[in-house]
Amino acid sequence: MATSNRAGRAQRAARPEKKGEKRKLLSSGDLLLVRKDMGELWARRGLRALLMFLPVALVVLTPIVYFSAISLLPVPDGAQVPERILSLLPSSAAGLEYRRAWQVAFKELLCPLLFLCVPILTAAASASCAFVTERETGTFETLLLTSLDVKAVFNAKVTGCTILSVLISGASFLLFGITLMIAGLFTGAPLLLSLDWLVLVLLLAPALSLFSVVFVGLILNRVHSTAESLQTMGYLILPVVVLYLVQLTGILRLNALVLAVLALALAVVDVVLFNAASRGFTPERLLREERDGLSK
Amino acid sequence: MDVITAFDLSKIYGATPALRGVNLKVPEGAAFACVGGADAGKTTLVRLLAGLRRPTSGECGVLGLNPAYEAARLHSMAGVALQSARLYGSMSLMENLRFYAGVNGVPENDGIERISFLLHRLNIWEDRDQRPGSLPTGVLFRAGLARALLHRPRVLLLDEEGAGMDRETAERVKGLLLYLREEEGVTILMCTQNMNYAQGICSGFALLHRGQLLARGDFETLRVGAGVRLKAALRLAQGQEGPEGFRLEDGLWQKEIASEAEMPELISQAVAQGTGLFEAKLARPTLEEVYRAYLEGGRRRGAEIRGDQ
Repeated sequence: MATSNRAGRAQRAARPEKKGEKRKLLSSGDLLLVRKDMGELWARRGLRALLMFLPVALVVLTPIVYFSAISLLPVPDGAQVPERILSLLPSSAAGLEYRRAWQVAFKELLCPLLFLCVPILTAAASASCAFVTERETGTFETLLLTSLDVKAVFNAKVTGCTILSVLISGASFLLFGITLMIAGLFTGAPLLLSLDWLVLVLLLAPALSLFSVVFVGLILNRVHSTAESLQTMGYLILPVVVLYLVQLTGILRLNALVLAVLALALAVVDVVLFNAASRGFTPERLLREERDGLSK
Repeated sequence: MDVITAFDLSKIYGATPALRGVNLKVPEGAAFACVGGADAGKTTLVRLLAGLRRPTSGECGVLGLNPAYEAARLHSMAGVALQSARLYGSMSLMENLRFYAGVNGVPENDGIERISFLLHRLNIWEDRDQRPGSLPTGVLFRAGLARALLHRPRVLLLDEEGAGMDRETAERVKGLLLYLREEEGVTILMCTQNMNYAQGICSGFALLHRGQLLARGDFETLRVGAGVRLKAALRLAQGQEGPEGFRLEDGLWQKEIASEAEMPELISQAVAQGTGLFEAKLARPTLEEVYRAYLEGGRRRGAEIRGDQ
């Protein structure tokens, strides 16, 4: 009797939701998978080192090297910052002395590019491990044999990787802020962050994180290994690099409004790609490689 | 009520047919085995029934659900143990099972109780803190079976590829499967190459060969269909000639008989003739012999057809 009661309880608990029932964004099973994915990603020594080193290298070491170089290297007499660069800076930068002007130019024109590499790289790296490694190690099949819907598995994986990437991006922004503060103390004039940075951190970085994760999910059926999947990071970074290099030509200025519009457009693309990737996330396609050697 | 059904089920991978027009019915509470060689289509059948693949043609169902479209609902009521479905290498056995219990919606305390029961029953409780990478294949197979049974499924689909069944694993798995069938009323579909092992657990069989169903039914039906007969086997005193019609095979005087009802008469005849009879027994053919007979019959029929042409 006790056994049948327990069986009943377990089966009721395992009962999937019926049509028409109010569905939570993430069920308890989905949340468990999100937690497992985030924990497993962080537990991987190589990936953890990558996720920690990349942001530090991009938003701490590179600015430190730059600010040190600009502060310590001798300035030739009569050296001036090119007018074209000065025209790209905010109006408050007008009339700044040589060293100070280059510091502001670096902060305004190059640091956003370095910062945006963080969500892209961390999201692509974590998604590669969460999706491709799971398939390589044969645990995807086990996951697809649970009472979780295959779409819920996709949602949970995307959520886990995006959250991890957004958290790391947030931490990177804090580190960058601290670096700027210290650099300001040394140079004697504080380097303040503009409104552009608010848009970058709160809108564009999360949108880029989601885009990178969904992109890896989209090409999942075309890559054969985690290493191959990691190579996609190059394709993801390229458009951002091009965008910031185009800015240096003076064609456009990436101010808060332009960045907000870009973030909005990217969010729309995210939704479209998410649906496309979710549709392609089927057991038949995910376990495709096995069938070639299977026929048992 | 038939819990597992397949109607004209076919699956073709590229240009290679893995399963061709298979029909199957497994009633509730039965233990049924699909047996055959390495390329018989057993794993494909389990994958189709588990919703991991879609059939090229035909239909299949488990508990009235279409696995291709209602996989999540199906998995909440059915457990699937495949050897290719691995556990997480970064977690211990216990952590893996607790994770899968949670994902399947089993309340935490029930999950721990169930895990404890299954691991003890399969004799791998001592390995609970080990990671899968450090465990032998037999223990991993048992752990995979435990994972499939965490949520007390009504149906168990089990694919045993014949690689990890050491003696202890075979005994423990057999004990658990018999318990599940008798005590929990679980319907079992087992796919294996190990026919004698399946014979010790299941009461119904489907014989598969290169994706085709050769025959299905209980053992007696299959035996009669294959034309494999029972044998009367007598152990006589050293140097003694056997009764008429008996031939010496493996140290025993043997003779094919139509049914076991002939045994008393054969024994009384042997005794009446003054034969030094030490032992008399009924030798039943194994499922493997029946399977081979079906294969031979198929080849013979094929040769006859080719000869006619």
